[in-house]
Amino acid sequence: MSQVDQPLLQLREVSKSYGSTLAVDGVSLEIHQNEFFALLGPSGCGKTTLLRAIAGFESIDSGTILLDDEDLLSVPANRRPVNLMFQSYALFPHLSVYDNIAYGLKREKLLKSEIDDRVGAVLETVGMTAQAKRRPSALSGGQKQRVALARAIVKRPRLLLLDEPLSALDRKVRSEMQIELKRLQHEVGITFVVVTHDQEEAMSMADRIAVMNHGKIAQVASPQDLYLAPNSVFVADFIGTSNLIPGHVRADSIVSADGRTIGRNRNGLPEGASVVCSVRPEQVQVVDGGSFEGTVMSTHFYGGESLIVVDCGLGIGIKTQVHSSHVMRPGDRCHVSWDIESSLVLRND
Amino acid sequence: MKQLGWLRFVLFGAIVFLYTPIAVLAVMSFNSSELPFVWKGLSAEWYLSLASNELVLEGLKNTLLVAVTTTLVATTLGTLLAIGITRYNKSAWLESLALSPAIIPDLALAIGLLAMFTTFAVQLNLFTVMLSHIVFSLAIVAAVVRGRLAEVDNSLEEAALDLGDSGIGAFWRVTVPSLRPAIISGALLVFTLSLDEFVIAFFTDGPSTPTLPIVIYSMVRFGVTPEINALATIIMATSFIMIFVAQRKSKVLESL
Repeated sequence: MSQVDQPLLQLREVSKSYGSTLAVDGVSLEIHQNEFFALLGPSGCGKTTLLRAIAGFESIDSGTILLDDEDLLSVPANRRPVNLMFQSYALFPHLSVYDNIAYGLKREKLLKSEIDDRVGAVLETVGMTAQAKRRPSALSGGQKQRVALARAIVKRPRLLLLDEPLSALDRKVRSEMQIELKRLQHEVGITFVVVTHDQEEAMSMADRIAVMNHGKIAQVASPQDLYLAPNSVFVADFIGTSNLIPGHVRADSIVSADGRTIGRNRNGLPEGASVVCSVRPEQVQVVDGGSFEGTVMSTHFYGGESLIVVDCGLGIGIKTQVHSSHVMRPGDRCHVSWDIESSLVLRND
Repeated sequence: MKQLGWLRFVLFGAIVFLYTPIAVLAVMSFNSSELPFVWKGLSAEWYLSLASNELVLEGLKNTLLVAVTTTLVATTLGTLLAIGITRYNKSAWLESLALSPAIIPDLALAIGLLAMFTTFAVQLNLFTVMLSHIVFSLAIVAAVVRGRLAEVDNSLEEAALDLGDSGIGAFWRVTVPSLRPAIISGALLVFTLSLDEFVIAFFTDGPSTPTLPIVIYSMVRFGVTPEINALATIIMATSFIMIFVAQRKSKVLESL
């Protein structure tokens, strides 16, 4: 067994290009035992290429991939102790649920009694025992997903890769499966690597997230850190909702285009540097006598909370979260403010 | 379901138009008269006399030999061709080239094949008929199987590999079974086509080994006999049953 701080999977300087486009550009990552790890990014950012390279369905141009400190690239896809749950689920249409799940075990030439036991146990885990004899075409989307998951985990892989696992499900089933996946990962004790473009999905399930953009890793952090301390404008914009107010450095302050102070230069950025102040909507308050006066542009009702967009002449509409009992209409005048001392300053590049 | 309204009369008209000749043929095959189109009484004697007609039996044997061989070879190669042109090829041009023998006019294909066999001084016999039938059958099987491939999830083979199977294992355990309905219906379709194919066989066959359609043609030249009605009825019933089964297996007629 690996030592405590020995990573399970290591990617070092992995690169892959298709023709002249660089799909994955020098990615290095470490994923630990029993982690629920997410690769998050917009479509075309290289996350799926990376996942397929780990599974063995995509070759890479340079770099190394190590599993348990051993070279994974020299092992063909069908001998890697890694399983992939496909985005389309890829269930075999001519086989029953039972035979789909037993497929991988039969290839290991296990005894029939052991196959029976393991398939039975995993059917129980995903709650599909009653559907064992059905064909995939007779299952709902959520049930297909459970079978695909069962088929992958029954092999007891060191690492389970999931390609956009929830994208084919409708909204209600998706939120149920988010909780379910998290529970299963805990129960079976397998390291999960999920690829997704949906930041809410990644944030709600993963222990750590790698945000990718244009084939590069933008930031690797826990969901909390990504939300509270994004390291770039891209991450601040991609994760959650943010007010990204353009400004520049003037001595120890950050000022807007029209010279109003919107933040503090705590990191010693050079005079005149172009920056963005990132302020989350829940950090902005609507108060009488607040620092910035403006006009309500639009209101959006989300149940208990409403989002209000206020034009304060700062270059963007300031989004603020207010209690829904606080009735406001487009055209109303109001004051907003936030703690200027703590607004997050990001270099604009 | 929408109501047909007055269009129902058009539908009935079309069905009557299509099936009247077939019905006449089937009824007349049970006619006891020597004259093929004068009704005298019910009889199965023509079916019995067929069974002792040496020429017909020889033709049937030759036809079955051609049809069975053609079906086996064309189904195997056509399936592989379909997998090749959909999974390993991006050129639409190559794809049309591979499938066009299915729609080239019979006569053009027949003349071309005859010219080729003559040029290379190949002796015309049943073997040249088989080769010729395989040419268009291959393309038909490929067209049918390709239709199914487009519907099948193309990560199935990868999933089999991911679960530890070998490339060959994945092909036999996943690719072929997932295409099975299309392979079966493609095979039934080309068997039927080969069974009653006349034009190409007429051009590429040798004189000593006539296939059944050629036998019928030479019999008809001396006038239609009730025996031919019986034979045609049998051939038609066989084709009808096969196409019906193929259509139930997969929507074969839509993929052409």
